[in-house]
Amino acid sequence: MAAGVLVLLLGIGGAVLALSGGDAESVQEVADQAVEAAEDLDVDAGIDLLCEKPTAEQQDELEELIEGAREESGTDDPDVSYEVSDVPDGASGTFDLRVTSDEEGLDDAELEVVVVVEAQDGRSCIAGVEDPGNGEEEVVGEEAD
Amino acid sequence: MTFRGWATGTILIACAAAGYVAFGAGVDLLHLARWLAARGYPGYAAWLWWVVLAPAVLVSAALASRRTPWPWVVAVTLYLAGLVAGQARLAHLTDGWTWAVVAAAVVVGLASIVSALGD
Repeated sequence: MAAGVLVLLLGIGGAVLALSGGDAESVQEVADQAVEAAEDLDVDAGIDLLCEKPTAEQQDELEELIEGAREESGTDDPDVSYEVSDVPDGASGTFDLRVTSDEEGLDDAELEVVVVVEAQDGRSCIAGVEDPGNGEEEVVGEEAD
Repeated sequence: MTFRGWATGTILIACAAAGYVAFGAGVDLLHLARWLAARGYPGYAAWLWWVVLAPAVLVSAALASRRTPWPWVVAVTLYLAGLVAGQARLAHLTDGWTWAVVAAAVVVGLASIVSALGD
């Protein structure tokens, strides 16, 4: 009986690992997947892309950004475009991300960030987001504290 | 060790896991669970609740298992399945030692099932 349960547990662990999205292996893949994840607010893709879990503060910031964009545009699902540039070759590095929207109320708003990609345990993941202005890094995860 | 000992160990580890998810992992549980459910991720939201509520379910199952071991066997299996699935999915986002807690939970939980069926 206990052996049966153990086999079941191993099966569940293996199945979850197998079903988890494939890891990104280059900065380009991270950039592509990040845009897809952001467009759909895809939590699954977000889990795969981050190096560390975001802090509660960072979750709040993201939520405020989403709520703010909704209020300004007056729609629940504002049309937002993501423009990726300066993607280096290789498994780690930084790329630029520019977020704009044509929605009324948001057409003046623009968000520019530098996304930091690191290679960890054979996968490329998002380690943090920098403000392009001052070069100060805001790390995603506990290192930010 | 008796069923009582292994069951107590299982419940204590379940409390530790629940405490980690609720307070130690740096997430606002209520907020996050509601957010996930609203965004179309009821699976992740349900998982959060299950890990946090598992100790209470296990205590109930232990009390219900005086005559027959099956409530305990089922509750522990579901609880361990949740922990293993969560660890497999979120390993890179959790602290490095959580796999050791999951491994301990599995060993103690399986021992409790063996002793429940043997008593």
